[in-house]
Amino acid sequence: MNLFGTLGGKATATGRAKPGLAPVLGLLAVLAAGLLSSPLRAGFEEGWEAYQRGDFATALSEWKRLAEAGDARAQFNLGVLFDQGKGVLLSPASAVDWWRKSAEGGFASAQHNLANSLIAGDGVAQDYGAAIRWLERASDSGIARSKYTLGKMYAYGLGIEADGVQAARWIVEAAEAGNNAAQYNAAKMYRDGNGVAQDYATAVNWYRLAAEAGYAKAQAGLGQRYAGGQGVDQDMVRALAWTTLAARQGLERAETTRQEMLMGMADDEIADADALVERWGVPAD
Amino acid sequence: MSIRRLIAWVMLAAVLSVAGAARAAVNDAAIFINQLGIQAIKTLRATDLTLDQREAKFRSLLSRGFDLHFMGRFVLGRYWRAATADQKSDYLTLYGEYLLQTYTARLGGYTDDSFTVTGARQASEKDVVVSTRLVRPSGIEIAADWRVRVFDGKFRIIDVMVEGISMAVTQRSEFAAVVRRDGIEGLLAILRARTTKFSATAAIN
Repeated sequence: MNLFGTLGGKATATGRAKPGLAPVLGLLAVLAAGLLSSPLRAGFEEGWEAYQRGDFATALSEWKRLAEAGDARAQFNLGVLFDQGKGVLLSPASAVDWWRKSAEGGFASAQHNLANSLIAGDGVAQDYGAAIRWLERASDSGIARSKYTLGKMYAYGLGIEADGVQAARWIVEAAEAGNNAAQYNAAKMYRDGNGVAQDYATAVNWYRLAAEAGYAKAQAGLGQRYAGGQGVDQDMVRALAWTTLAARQGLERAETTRQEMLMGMADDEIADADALVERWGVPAD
Repeated sequence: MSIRRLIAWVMLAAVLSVAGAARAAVNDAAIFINQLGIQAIKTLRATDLTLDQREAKFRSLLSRGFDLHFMGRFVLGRYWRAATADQKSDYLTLYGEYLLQTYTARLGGYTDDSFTVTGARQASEKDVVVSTRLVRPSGIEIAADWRVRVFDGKFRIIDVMVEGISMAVTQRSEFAAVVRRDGIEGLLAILRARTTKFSATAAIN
């Protein structure tokens, strides 16, 4: 399949024109000039607009031209098209090739994606060591997701010696940068004293940040802290409200906990919790 | 009417009513998939929204159509029991995310797809398989079979078969190979890696 057929077609049309057809040739020359100059005008934005419309073939051809000229952002986006099979046959290996070029050009999102292809072994041989080096570079650029992933690599000793203190350091950094999964993990680390000194109040703060952002497991965790009065004053109304929000998102164990809580609570407490859920939560589907 | 004849009539009526119920379930399952398809196409054609917004809506639609917990447990197979409570919780979150992201990325961006239900059949006592055809404007056709089952009175998709290959069975053998080699944490690392990637951007980073 010729994925870049439009460009090939234009070149052929002018190349086959015969002499003696001056007016036609002239017209073709004008058209050709227009076509040839359009790649110069057309560029990243045209690719982006096409991408938003769902016209991935155009996005691909626009970005490919820029990518081949060394544009790191276009190289990154081209990698995404190959990774998701948008406008092109799915090709994790081509995604890795473009992300690697972009990553070497200093594009942090590409460094992050390349590292994750190396972890999953998608389109490239699995290589935790190389993944960690790219995650470190992306983390230096402030990418929260990279910091979080790096924390997990240290936590489980993947490609590096397991180190709870380093794991906590990276995960807390990612949490501070606003990553909800990292905030939830930081909460658990402080709750259990894992890589940090145990501190229930700090755990509650991290649970709360992620819970308020809608992270279901953090909502369930915060509910548990209210139920047990750990790091926060015991409050069964708030415990039930947070647990209900988590259960509404389909978290099974939150639904189990919710049923247990309901059995031990008075009707007015349950009504208060429902009122909080209505005030905080999005309506259930 | 003799007793024997009455019994024969009662038995025939029972058989017909079971067959009738099965036929109704097959029809209802086909309607469920058709409705999901209609809503999906409508979401994808809302070009006043950005691609990210359209994909977010599409994804929310899928999350209500699939039984992600059932699928996740099936795919992990016998390793489910060996996992700790924390690993199970992480796995279900990551698997759901992985499945939704994969389908949203593959199907979510296109605005001019057409979608048709081409048939439905009772595949087992509990399951109905609904056959569909997706046609891209480029002419590419994708034939997919959706296995659906009733949970708590609602239809949910529990598997997708493309070209006769079951996604759940394929994932099950892929995941088992990873767990044998790198343990549950290795599998979680892969799922985390596949779901944390950045999508296309206009930002200069």
